Amino acid sequence: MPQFLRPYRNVVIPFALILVSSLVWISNTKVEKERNLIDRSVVFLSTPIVRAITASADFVSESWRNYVWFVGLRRQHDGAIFRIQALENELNRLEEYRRENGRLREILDFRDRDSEESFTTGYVVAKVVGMGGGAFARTIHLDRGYGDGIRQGMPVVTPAGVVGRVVKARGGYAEVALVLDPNNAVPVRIQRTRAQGILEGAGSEICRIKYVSRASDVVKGDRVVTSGLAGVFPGGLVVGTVDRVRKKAGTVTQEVLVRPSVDFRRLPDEVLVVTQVFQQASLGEEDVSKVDLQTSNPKKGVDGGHQ
Amino acid sequence: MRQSAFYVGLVLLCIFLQMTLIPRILVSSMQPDLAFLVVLYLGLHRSSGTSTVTVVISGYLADLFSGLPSGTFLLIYLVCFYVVGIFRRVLYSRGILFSIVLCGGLSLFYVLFLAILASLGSGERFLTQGLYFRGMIPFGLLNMLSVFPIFRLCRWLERYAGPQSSSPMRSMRHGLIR
Repeated sequence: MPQFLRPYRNVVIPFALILVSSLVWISNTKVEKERNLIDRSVVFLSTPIVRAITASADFVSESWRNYVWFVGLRRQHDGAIFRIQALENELNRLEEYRRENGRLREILDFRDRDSEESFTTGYVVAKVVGMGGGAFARTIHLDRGYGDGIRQGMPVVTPAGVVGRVVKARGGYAEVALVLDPNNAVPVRIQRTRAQGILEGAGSEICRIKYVSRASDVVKGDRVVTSGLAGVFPGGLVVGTVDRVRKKAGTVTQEVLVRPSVDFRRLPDEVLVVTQVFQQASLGEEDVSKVDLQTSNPKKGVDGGHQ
Repeated sequence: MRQSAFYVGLVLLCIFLQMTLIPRILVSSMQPDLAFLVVLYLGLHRSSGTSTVTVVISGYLADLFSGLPSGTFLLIYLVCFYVVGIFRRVLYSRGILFSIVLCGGLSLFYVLFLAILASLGSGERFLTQGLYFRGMIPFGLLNMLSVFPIFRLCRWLERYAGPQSSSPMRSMRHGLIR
């Protein structure tokens, strides 16, 4: 340090460090830069440690639950819950098809411009190895990454519903922004009335649908599903149920608060990362279009708005 | 140097625990920031010269595993560390009660700072960052509850890692700090 600054080093050093860290933050705010060699090395070296801690915690909690707390009953219960959720999801998909069919029957030869439907054809099963390190982070870490075909923007689901979207994919590791994350945007619709909107995180355990017309009929308990717009999330996946509806005076839209169907306080050990979606864009013309999420580039803002 | 390495290891352990064990233990989705508490300990009980490097590394590690834009926790930890340093000089007390009260106040400051950064980053208005405002009080309480075990752990670590001549109390006794 220059001689003339030495008497002021107690002020100069803190000021310089805070300035540098501010510049680092500003440079990473809009566009998250690729991780450098040091970052990748730290994450690479820490992944086995995180896995080991998670495995130890799993072992202890599973031992407790399976052998001390009702021998075997817990496993049966978990299996039954998993199966019920899977069946509910399937039932919901069938409900979507039934409604679509009924609507098509009603309008007969009227071409339906809004009958997009899609279904998942490729997925990777990934284990949840940790949650975001920050107190307010709404991310989870998966043990699968770029090398397993996972790419940025891919949707992550469980039988209970939508979990979130991949925001970072590295060699053997991926980071997922949950639907609770305020920066995550998912196009959704109200299943009963087909009112569309954009869902984003709004609190510790609640989400909010924006841009729902004030005239749309939305009531508490309505089921919310993905709309399939933007081609990233397959249509018809359960997101949650309407918890509250707020209509503020002087606005053309209403705010719809949604309670997610996935219990984020107790995520399952494994999730599915959707890698390929078949999407039926419009009837009559090109019937089925294949959307390979490994090569497609989701649009920023909707389905890709996480910073 | 040895103590700094131990503290970096402790911060890393805290981050790993926050990623793995703590979400399983706590019923609420809110959790304390253990690495932040280590930074507070450093600000209260170690000299700023030797601890600054540890705080910078802690911020870097917290950023790496947080999912937020890089530099967020680096900035928050550094600012909190220097704010604690100011409090230490003005109102230094060895009591744990002082540390707990200071931790509560700084936790609120931490959340407000995070909300400001989030609103600047997303371009939305500050008052729309409801997630942070709702979590402010539980976060502060959880941090205050975690002060005692984390500070005890740090003291135990100091004894294990060996003496370091930069303790402000020791420096005060030797008349280095007035």
